[in-house]
Amino acid sequence: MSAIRKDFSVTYKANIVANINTFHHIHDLTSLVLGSSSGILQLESYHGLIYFLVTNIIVTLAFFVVILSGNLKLIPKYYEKGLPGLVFEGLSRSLAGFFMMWCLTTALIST
Amino acid sequence: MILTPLFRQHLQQARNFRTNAAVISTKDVFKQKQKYLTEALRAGKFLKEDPSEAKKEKPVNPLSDPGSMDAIFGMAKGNMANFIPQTVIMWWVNYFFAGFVIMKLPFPLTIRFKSMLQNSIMTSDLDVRWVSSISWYFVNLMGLKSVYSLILQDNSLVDKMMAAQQQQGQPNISMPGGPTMDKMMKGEAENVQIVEFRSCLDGIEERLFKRFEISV
Repeated sequence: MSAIRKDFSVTYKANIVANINTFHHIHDLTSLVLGSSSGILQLESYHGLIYFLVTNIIVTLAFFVVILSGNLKLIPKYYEKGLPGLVFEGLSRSLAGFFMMWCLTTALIST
Repeated sequence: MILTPLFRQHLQQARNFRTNAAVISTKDVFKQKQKYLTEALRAGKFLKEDPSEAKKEKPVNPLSDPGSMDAIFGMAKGNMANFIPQTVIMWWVNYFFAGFVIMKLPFPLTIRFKSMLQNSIMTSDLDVRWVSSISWYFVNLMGLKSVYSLILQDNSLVDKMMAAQQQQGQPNISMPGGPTMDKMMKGEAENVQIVEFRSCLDGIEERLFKRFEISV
């Protein structure tokens, strides 16, 4: 819940939810697009998995650089999660969407 | 004792006061608000019945109260509406597309998945990567979540949050033996009482100078 911090600023739950939603939106979109691209590239087994991990981490890093302007100190305040928590959430969120589009485009192209 | 949403609002008011105490402008206003909230909560001003009388009553069975019955059935209906269509669709997919191989997965799986993913395909030597419709159904079940959130996204999320916080239709089921409302209010009164007033304007000059790196 909201708490008063040392710098007297007050955080509100609704703002944090909106921030996390932005993060989720970017991961939803990129997971679908990257899943389709790995299907189009006809990646199979470990290559696809490595492609997923690498691109997802690139997306998360780009999020930190573009949206947070590299200011990683703001993460606990704006997301109520640490850096590893946010990276892990990005990974787990995009996993299912990536696999779905990967399977679909692979099947569509190879037939 | 039946809890009405109004009680929750008063508790929420006290919580908001504690959260936002730092942005109240002067100490007098803070003291006034603190005094009012403490006294009102402690005296049970917001309670419908006198707490001493309510204690004598036996705890009401939530199943006998028509209001909470509706709430319980509402929750049950919400759950049913979620999992019955899933079960029906899964059964239908399994029945209608039985015996068809529909796609080749881009990743290999161990032989253990064979019985699950190649259900009703009677070839013992087929690679597990060739799967039947039910596995595509599972992949969709997980993966369509992100598609839904992209399609059904709206920008009024914050408004929704606020509305959910003030929602009136929350089920108010007071469990027998749980904390009664007057106890919760007394606890909140103590929380309000120990809040110390530290204005956000305290030492604002130093912080401002520090922020813009001006040495005095």
